Amino acid sequence: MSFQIVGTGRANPALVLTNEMVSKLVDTNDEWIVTRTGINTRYVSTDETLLDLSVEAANNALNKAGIEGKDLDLIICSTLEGDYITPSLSCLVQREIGAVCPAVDINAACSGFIYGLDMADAYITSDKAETILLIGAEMMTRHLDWKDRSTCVLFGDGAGAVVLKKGNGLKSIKITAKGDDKLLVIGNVFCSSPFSNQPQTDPHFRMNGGEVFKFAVGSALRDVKEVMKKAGVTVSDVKMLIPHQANLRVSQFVKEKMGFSDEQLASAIDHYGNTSSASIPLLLDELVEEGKLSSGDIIVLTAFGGGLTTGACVIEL
Amino acid sequence: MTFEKIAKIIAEARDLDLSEIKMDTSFEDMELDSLDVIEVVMAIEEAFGINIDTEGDLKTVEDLVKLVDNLK
Repeated sequence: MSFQIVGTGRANPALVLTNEMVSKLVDTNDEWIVTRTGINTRYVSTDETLLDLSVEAANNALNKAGIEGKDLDLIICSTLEGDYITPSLSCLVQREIGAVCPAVDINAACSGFIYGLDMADAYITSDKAETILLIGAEMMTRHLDWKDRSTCVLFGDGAGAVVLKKGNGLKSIKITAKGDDKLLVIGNVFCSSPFSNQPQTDPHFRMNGGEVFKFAVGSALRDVKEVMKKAGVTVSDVKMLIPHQANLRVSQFVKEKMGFSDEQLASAIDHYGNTSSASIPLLLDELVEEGKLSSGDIIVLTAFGGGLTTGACVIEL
Repeated sequence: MTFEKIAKIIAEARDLDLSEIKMDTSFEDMELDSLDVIEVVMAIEEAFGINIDTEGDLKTVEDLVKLVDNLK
């Protein structure tokens, strides 16, 4: 007995940033961005805080699940960084949605949502919780170098949420980590201290794109094969492959190598960009809302990101 | 030898005529963008059983051949 997904929700900031708008900031153009990334527009936060987005996504998911905040046993927020270092994002979500349960943030970068599912699975199978709210909430635009055309075009902001209840939806799950601070890095900003001799790190998102691409497709292929085998499902059993939305070319590479059809590949990168650990729950909610996914469907999730971390799972909705 | 093997991999991956691929053919000539080059690199890594660092600037087939020869 593990969990089943009983509700999904999402929230986006109001501002839609088009490729044309980005090309006024850096030397790039719509065609270049679309062919290399698949991104047309992305949502960018202006006045909205990460808490605003998280609470909206959470309430949305709770409504669809037909439960209230007070019914929750645990809140997990996957985020690279909340609005504060402390209190955690999840604690403030707890207050805003009227929950009374424990709340904790986790950071596994873009793989965070699958890490959160793994954690939820552990809480539920050990009978420590029956109903869990898992949110993926990210504001990547707080860490972009808007002078670097190779990275500032890639990201967007948003929050996606799921309500998980004790059930038999999860068929298999796997998470991995391999420590690396070269391929994909966002530095931290610290206050100055008269005692510190540590150098300041660069708070902008930096990556070695080619190596990250190799890591992404290599790990996604490995993880997807493994969780499908463990779950005993074949490509034809799967309604949709839902990869972390980092780059359309990565998703298509995995789809082709695994033998999935175009219809089986879920994609929303064209209007979200990369929203880190929010990308999978955002897309999941959209697919459910559009009627493309329904109860009984088998989905395969896969993610990869900073850490380096990866994760994949098979879920029956 | 390395060149022939690499040319064959590129030709197969990109559906090109093998005779069109010369040592000094650039990826731009073959209409390969940076991510296409990475895909070719991955196929070469698999074929040669090596790990190629893609951080350097790869512009031509010769750049790839040299990289692979240095790793062999």
